[in-house]
Amino acid sequence: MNETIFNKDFFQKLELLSLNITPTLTTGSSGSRKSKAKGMSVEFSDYKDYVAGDDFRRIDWNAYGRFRKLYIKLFMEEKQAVFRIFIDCSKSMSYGKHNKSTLALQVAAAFSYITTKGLDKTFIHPINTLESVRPISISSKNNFINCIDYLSSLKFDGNNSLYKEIKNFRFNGPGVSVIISDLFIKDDLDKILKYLRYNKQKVILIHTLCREELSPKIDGRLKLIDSETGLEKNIYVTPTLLKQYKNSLDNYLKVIHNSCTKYESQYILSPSDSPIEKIFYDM
Amino acid sequence: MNILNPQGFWFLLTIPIIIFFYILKQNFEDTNVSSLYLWNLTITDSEVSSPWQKFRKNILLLLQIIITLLIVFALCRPYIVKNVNKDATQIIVIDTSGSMSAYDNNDETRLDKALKSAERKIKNLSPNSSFSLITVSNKADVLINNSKDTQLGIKIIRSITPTNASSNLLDHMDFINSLATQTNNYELTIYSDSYNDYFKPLQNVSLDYINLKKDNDLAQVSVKITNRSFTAESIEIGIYDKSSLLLDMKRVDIDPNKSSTVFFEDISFNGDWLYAELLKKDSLLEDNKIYNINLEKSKNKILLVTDSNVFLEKAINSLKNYELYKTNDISSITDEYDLYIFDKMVPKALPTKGNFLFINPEDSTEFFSLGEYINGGYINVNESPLSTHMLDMNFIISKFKPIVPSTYSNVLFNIGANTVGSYGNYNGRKFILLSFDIHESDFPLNVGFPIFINNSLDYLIESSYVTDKKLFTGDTLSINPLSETKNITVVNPNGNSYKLNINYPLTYFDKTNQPGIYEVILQTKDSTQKQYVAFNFPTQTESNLDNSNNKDIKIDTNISEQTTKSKDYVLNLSSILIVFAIIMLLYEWKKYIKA
Repeated sequence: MNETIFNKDFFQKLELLSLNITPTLTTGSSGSRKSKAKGMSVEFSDYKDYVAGDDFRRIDWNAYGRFRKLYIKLFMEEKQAVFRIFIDCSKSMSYGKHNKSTLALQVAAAFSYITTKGLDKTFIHPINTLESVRPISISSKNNFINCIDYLSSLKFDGNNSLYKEIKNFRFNGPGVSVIISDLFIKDDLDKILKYLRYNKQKVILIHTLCREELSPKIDGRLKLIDSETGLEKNIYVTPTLLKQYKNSLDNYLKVIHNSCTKYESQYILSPSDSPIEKIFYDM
Repeated sequence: MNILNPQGFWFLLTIPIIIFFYILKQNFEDTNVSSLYLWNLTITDSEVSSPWQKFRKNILLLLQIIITLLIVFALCRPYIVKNVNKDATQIIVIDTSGSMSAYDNNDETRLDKALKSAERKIKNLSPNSSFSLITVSNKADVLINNSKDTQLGIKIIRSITPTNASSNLLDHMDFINSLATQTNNYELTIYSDSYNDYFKPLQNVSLDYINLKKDNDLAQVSVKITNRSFTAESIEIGIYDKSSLLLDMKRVDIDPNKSSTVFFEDISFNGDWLYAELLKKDSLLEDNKIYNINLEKSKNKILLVTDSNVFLEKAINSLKNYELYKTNDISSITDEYDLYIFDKMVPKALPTKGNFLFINPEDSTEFFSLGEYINGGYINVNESPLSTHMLDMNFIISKFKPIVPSTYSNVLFNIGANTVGSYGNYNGRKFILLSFDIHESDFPLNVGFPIFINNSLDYLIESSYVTDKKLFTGDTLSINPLSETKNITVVNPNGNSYKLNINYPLTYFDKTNQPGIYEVILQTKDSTQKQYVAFNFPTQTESNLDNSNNKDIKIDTNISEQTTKSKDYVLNLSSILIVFAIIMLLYEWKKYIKA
C-alpha cells in the first residue's frame, strides 16, 4: 500500500464521505439501493389492480374496505448498483506538485469504499496503460484492502486512446461510469460520452488538473516537452501569452462542460490539490 | 540642435554587440509539461490572432536598443541654443592678454573657456548670419571679418594662443565699435576678464621685479613679490641659473594685497642670466617666474686717449651699449677695455688686450709703419667691411703720412697710390689706422663720418646689437644689425628658432609671447655673436585676477544698446535623454523582469 496516497488522513475522511447519486436501477443484482423495479422488499412502492394469479397475500384489505375494489400492494425492489471507475493512466496524469494520479487513486478508492458500503458493486478499470492491466471488482468492504493494494500498484505511463479502450468494454446493464482523467486526449469526448450514455451509464466526469496546468507560473524562453509524446515546443512566455493560455483553458473547459451537459453527464473540475471530500460534496 | 561631443557616437558600436549577445542568449530552457495539448491550442490561437507575435517576442531587444540609443545620444551631449537675434552679425572679441592664461579651474584657462564659448556661438549661427572674430591684447587683430564660413571660423578659434601681453580693453573699444557699426544688425560678445564677471575672481601671487648686481663672482639679487590674493601667503622663492641649478632659496610671509622685496646676498654666480621662481603653483603660472640678464657681460668699454676730440666723443656717445672713457695720460692705461682709441698719442707699450683705433699717430708701432707727411687731397674710399654705406663718400684732407703696406692690413682710404687709412688683424688683434688728423679734414663734417665710426666700432669690438635687454612679453624686440650682418636668428625659450629678414637701421621681432630668455644670434662674415634678452610677464597690468579692475571699464555708449554680454540660451538635452532612458529601463524591468 502506498502510504503517501492512502494515509491516515485519507482513511479518516472516507468515513465521512457519502455518495449522492441515485442511478436509475431496474435490473441487476439485489442490493440495497431502491430501484424502480418492483420486488420483495418491505418498502411500500405502489398499488396495482388485482388480477388473477397475483399473490392474494398482498391484497390491501383496507383499500378494499374503502374502495370496494381489490388492490395489490407493490414493494420496491432493492437492487445493487454497478459503478465502473475508469482511471486514466496516461503519463500526463503523473504530473504536478500535487500529482493528479494521487487524486485519481484517492477518488477511485473513495468511490470503492462508499459504494461497497452501500452494497453496490464497483469495477475499477485502469485505461490508457502501457501494459494491459486487468480490472478489479469490489463488492464488499472486505475487498477494500485489495482495492487499495491494487490501486497502489497502478502505473501512470500510458499513451493510448481513451475512447478506444472504453469502446472495447462491454457493459452488462445500466450503471454509473466514473471517468477520472485530465482529458488531454486526442479523442473526441462527445464520442466517449455518447457511447457511455448509449450503454445506459450515468456518467460522472472528474476532470483533474494540477495547479501548474490551471495557472502556469513560467517565464522566459522555454522548450516545453510533452511528458507523454516527448514532442517539444519552443515558446517565449510573456504576460500576453499567459493570458491567452488562460483563455484557451477556459474555452477548453467550457467545451467539455457543454459536452457533459449535452449528454446529461455530471462534470466536476477538480484541481489536484483539492480535498477529496470537496469532490464528493460537489456530486 | 548641436552635438558637443561627437565622439559619443562611437558607442553605437555596442548595438550590434547587444544584438549578437541577444541572439546567442536565445537558449530555451527545457521544461517538462504534462501535455502540450493546451499550449498547442494557445499558440495556434495567438498566432492566428496576432500578426505581431513574432515582433512581440523581440520587444525586449527593441527596448534595449532604444535605451542604448538614448544613452549614446546623451553621451554626445546634444544641446539647443536659442539666439536672441538669429540673423545678426556676431562680433566676437576675445581677450588674449596675460591674465587670460589664468586657470579658471584645474583643466581650463580663462582663454580656453572663452574659446569654447566662442566656438559654440559660431556653430549655432543661422545660415544667414555672418561673424567677425577679433583678438585683443597689446593690439587688436581682426582674424576674420563678416564671414559665413563657420568651419574656417572654428579653425581660426582653435588656433588662437595666449599672448601673455599687457592689454587695456578700453584702448581697443573705438576700433571694435567702428567695426561693429559697419553692419546695422549686430550682436557684440566680449570675452575678457577685464570687462564683466564672466570669469570668476582668482587668487594669485606674482614676482614683479628682479635686480642683479655683480660684485666679482658674487651676485646680489633682489626680488619683488606681490600677494594679489585675499589671504596671507607663506611662500618660497628660489633663485636658479640657466641650467636650473638652485643657487639660493628663501621663505617669505606676505599679507594679502601687499608687496615685499626679498634680498639674496652673496650668491655665487657668473653666468649669462638667472631667474627667480615661486615654488608654489597658483592660478597664473606665467608670473611665478622672472628673469634677469647679467648686464655686466654686455657692456663694451672704450678708452679714448686724446687731448680733445669732440667729433669722436659725440660720434661714439651717439651709439648705445658702449661705455666711453677718456684720458690724456698714456702712462696709466690699463688692460680692462675692449677698444682703445689713440688720437695722436700712442703709448710705447700697447695694452695686451683689446683692439685699437689709431688716428694720426706720431710714430710707427708693431702694428704699422708710416712714412713722412705729404700733402693730402680728396680721399678715395675703398670697398671694405668698414665702408658700408660710405662708398660714395667724398672728403678732403690737408696732409697725411703714407701707410706702408703690410700683409696683415688692407686699404681703407687712399689718395692715389698712397694709403691713408687701413684696417687689419695683427696677431689676433684688430686695428684701424687713419694716418691723418681728422681736425685737418672735412671728414667729421661728412655725413659718412658717424657711419664710419659705427662701422669701425662694429668691426673692432663685439657690440651690443640688442638695445633693450629687459622687456615684457608681447613687446617687440628691436635689433640693431651690424654692418656686415649675414643672419639674425632669434631662439625663444622653447628652443624654436626664427630667422629674421635683416632691415636697417632696425630689425624687429614680435613673436615674444613666451616669458623667458630669448637668444639673439647675429652672424657676420667674421664672427657669430649671441646676446640675451629677458621677456617677463607684465605683472603690473595682468597679474590682478580678482576682477577688481572691472568696474573701471566703461563701454562706449554707442554700443551699450546692443547685447554686450554673451548670452547662450543653451538647453542641454543630455539630462532629458537620460531621464527617458531611465523610464524605459523601469518599463522594461516592470514588464518583463518583474513579470
